[in-house]
Amino acid sequence: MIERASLITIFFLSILFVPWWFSVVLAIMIASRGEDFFVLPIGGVLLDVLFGVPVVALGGFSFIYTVVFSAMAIGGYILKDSIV
Amino acid sequence: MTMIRTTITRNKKNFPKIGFSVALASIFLIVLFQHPLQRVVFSLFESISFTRETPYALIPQKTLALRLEKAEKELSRIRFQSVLYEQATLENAKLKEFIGTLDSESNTIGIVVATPPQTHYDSLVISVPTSGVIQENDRVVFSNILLGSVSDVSGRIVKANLFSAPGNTVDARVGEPNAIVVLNGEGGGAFSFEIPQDVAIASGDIIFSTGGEYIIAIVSSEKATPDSTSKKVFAHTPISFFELQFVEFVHSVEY
Repeated sequence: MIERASLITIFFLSILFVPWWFSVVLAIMIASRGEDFFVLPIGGVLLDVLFGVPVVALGGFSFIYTVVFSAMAIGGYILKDSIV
Repeated sequence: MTMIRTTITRNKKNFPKIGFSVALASIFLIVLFQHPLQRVVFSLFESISFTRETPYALIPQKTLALRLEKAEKELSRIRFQSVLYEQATLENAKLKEFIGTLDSESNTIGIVVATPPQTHYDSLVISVPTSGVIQENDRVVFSNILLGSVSDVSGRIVKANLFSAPGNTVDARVGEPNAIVVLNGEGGGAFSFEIPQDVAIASGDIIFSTGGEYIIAIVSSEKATPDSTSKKVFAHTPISFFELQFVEFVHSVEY
């Protein structure tokens, strides 16, 4: 339980204070656990609201991390449901 | 007695020579100062003598008159130029007012809150002292380096999209002779662009904005193939985003 809470806390702190790749690694770790379904989409929304800018290559779309983290959460949930 | 006679005879013999010399000099001076070519002589005289600050008492009156005439002409020319400069300044101020630009002295300074890679995108989060001053598409500048444009303003927090973000493009000038190129953002402060092989370019060349006022990037390397008329050039921003502490905002029409 402590490990789970720590991971989520560090994940949200990483969004604010550390480079993007650290947040992505933590997001993969959270997704691989397949437990906290809403943590990753919430983190993605927070990240995009704080730092997101329109990406020209994607037609001005600025919620990339929300989409990617949501996909990771869904994938992790499906994998865990099918394996366990 | 014989000596006295000899002296008188010599003086009589020298007298016509001295008189002739004085008469010749007088004629020469009269001709010199009355001839139409005297202006040329005065000019020559001025160029030789006046550069050494000759006392005015030693300068001929006509020369002084010429100098005064020349000085008056110069003064009237300067007066005319100053009127023209004043008109140009007023016109410039009116044009700036018309297009709604600000002077560089009044540009807003912002504190950089977050930079890449912390921002997860190639963007800057900037805090400005007052809200409502910054508009979308205003340019973000640091020490004469053009970084990007404002993409979102919410109160006192401004988000700027860097030109080096993937997919972003910006026009620039580079090379000798100057070529207008389109810089493509590659992410992380890197750019790439295509340029004709005829344009001489080298590593370390500066890439300027189309207005020539700001620096955008520095050429790092180039890649040319013999079967193509153009070559691909890679460039990078001259500063590290991590070191940014303050930036300046310039209205988009000024850059």
